Amino acid sequence: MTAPVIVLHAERVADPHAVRWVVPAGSLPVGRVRRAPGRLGELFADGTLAAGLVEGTAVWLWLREDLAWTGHGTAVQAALREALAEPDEWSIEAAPGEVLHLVTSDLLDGTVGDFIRSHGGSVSARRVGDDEVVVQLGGACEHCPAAGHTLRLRLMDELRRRCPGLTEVDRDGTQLTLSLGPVAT
Amino acid sequence: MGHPHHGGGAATDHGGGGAAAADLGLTRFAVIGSPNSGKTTLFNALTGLHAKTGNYPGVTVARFEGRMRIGDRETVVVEDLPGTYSLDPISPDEQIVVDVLDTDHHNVRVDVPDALLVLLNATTLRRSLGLLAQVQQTGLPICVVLTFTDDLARRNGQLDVAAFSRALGVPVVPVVAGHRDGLEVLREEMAGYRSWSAPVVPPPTDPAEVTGWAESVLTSGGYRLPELDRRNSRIDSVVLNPVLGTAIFLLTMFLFFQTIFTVAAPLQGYVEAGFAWLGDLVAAHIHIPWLSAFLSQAVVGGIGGVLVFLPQIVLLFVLIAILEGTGYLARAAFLMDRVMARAGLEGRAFVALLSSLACAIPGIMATRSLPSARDRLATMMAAPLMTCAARLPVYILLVSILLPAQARMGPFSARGVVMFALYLLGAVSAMLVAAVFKKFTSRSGPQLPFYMEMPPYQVPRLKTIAAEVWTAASAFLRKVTSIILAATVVLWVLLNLPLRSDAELSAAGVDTGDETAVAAYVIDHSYAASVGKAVEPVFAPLGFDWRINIGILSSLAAREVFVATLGQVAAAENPEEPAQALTEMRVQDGPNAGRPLFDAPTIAALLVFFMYALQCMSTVGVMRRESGSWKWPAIAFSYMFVLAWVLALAARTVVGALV
Amino acid sequence: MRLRPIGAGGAPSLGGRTLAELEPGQHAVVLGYSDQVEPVTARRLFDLGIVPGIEVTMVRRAPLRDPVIFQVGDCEIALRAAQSRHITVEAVR
Repeated sequence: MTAPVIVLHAERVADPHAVRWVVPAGSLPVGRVRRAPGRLGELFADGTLAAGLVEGTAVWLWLREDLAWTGHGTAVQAALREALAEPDEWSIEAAPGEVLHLVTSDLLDGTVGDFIRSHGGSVSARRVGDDEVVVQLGGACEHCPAAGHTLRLRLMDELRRRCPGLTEVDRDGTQLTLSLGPVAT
Repeated sequence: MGHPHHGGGAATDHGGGGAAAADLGLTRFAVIGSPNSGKTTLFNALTGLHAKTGNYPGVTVARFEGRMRIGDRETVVVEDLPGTYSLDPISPDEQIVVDVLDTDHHNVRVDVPDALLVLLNATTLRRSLGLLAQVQQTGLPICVVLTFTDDLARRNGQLDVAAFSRALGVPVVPVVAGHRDGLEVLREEMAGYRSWSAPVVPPPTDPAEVTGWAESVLTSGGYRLPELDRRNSRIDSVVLNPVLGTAIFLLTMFLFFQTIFTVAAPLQGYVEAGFAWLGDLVAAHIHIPWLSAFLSQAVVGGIGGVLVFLPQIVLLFVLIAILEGTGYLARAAFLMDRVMARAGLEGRAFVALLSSLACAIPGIMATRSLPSARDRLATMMAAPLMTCAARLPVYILLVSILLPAQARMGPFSARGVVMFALYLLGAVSAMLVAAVFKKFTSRSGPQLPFYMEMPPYQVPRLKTIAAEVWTAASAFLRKVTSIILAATVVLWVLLNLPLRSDAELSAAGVDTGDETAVAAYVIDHSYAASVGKAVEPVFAPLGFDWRINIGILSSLAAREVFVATLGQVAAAENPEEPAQALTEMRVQDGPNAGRPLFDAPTIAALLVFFMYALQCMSTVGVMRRESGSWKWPAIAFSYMFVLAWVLALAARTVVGALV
Repeated sequence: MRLRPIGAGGAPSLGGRTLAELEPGQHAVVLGYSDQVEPVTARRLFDLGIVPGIEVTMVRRAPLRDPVIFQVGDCEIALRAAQSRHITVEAVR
């Protein structure tokens, strides 16, 4: 029996109940996880895992509110590894708005947001409608001539890397409206 | 192959296990990483020259601990754990690491550290991550230190450290040997060890799964593999070429021996002149006869005679340090591995034995580079047989009595041929002894397979070379200023006591006005003489009389003392021409009375005796420290004494039949 | 560097050669270890990165024929024939 090597690692994110599991691009279709095979499926079924979302290069998993990753991390890791060996057994429904909002928020919580905040600015992202996300710069960035430039370069580059199919719907000074088109798998 | 640790001399051993009392209450960091990850260099950089060396209780594994300051005023203890590839131990070294990290059982032999520095070599990351995954299971705070990042860049490799850190879930600090910035960052990071992030989910440790984890982490970190080290390959294609490489190797060995005999000569001249001047100064300015005699003979003469060889020893250490620093010694080990395998050893043992040509002490410490504990022991037992610089004064003295300077054997100087034969015999004996010990210790554990990672060629850093030479030379100097000085002084006292009054002298028929006669009488009836005569039964078959016996007994402390001792005895008989006095010494009583004392058979016996006997307390001390108990130095001393006695008798018999 | 799926030890009877048989400059992929390999040796080879799927190259021999330097992944490792003949490989062009 030759088991395929599953490329996978866990990263911490701002939300303590979530863990971002990094997988190779294209392992799974992008969207909300409805059902997963094997033990992972059982973890969803019995409520241990509250939700799952697949972005371009990672699977986000949320634990139930009262549980902690220190106790369940290893089990979830093993289950996820098994499940990734059978990508066709997953049931994932498209949820472009949710995915885009998640990834954008993650970036804003991380390096891109840090960069903006270090310059005295503020940034937020909110969902609009089903699949659009509006990113708003504030603070010192409101009157900064480079604001638009900043948004575009840093945010868009990172976003595009993690969300193929990203479209810029509208740009208006310090506000950027984004949408996630259908992703070619 | 690695750089030796500093502070190799003063050892506080941790015989009973656990930290020294002064370290209680201090935060402990442990440095863990695979061999060749730059651990030793980092440890030395963090702790400076203030590391304590010792031994882990009960095993032949060296232990290194040092202190450093982090943050503003906090002093912490840093322990350099033995290099290990994983926490599945296959050798005593690796078992130690497992024991230290065993947070569950608090092994009484060692202390669990408060935080860990895991060293990863940036050029071999894929392989090294398995160790990190295992270490992360311990739950201890971890900071990854990334070494050889300069090599990675030079070979077109790449890594996004921030992304790598995020993917691993722990702080990552890149350091480059010799650059202070990385170290400063590390120091600051260490100050905040209590708040080091830990991975949200510990990585898997199953070998199949950990490969996937490593691949994922490296991809996230934007790792680009370094290319083949082309510079390395080009140099190696010459240095390891069957013909050129062998030639280069032989040339290097030739350079070694040239250093021993020729290169140091002018420097030795200076030292000699310096001590002669000092001796004259003493004689001229100190008018208390006994003090003058004491200072000029015992101190200046004794110490001076030994320090004359310091330039040689220092030059040898410099040569070894340079070869080591460039990475050439690993190639030498590769070239010599097959030869060493005949003695059951491996190529790196050759390096240890080569270092022993300067002094067995750094040679024995060099055995730390051998992964197998059995190999370390066998090499340790054999190292003292290599002709160290301390034997040179003895050999030179004896050979010059035996053969006149102009004597020739064919086209070569006779003296040169004999010296070469002594060196050769020493080396061959060392190999044979190592083979025997290897066979005898076959019960003490599985045989580690041979493997050697070829390190990249580097330009050795001056600071590192200076530090290594200083470590080795200071061990020699310590020996000189403590053991040799003490032995020489004690001997001088024993040779000149008891004092004889004029009445006693006259009664014995000695002319009290003749200083030489008085001195000779005093020595002949001194305490030292009594001791020398007491052990005559042991050495009589070898042709030694009480004067030689005192010399041998005193040389048990350090070989060089033999020359000082004989010098004092000879000077008593002929203050103007002590060398002459030696050639003219006659056997005093017994069946050979009247014959020259230093005839060919006796000299042959003496040479062979000095070749094999373990006459160096410093070596005994280092053996004890490196092997962890008195058992091995005791075995070494005993076997070498027996061997020396038996072979000296054989030499005497053979030469006696030929002459 | 490509990683092939990890399998149980290579089967010599299928024509797999051993690392010891490679000529200078030859590339190969490690298949596994032979059945006669000692556990200690197997562990050490694994630690050194000589794992199934890894690409190796025979670089050079010592003047006395042993040991031999192999390029394993990113680094050069010297091994004796006593160990390298327990590693089964598949030559690649």
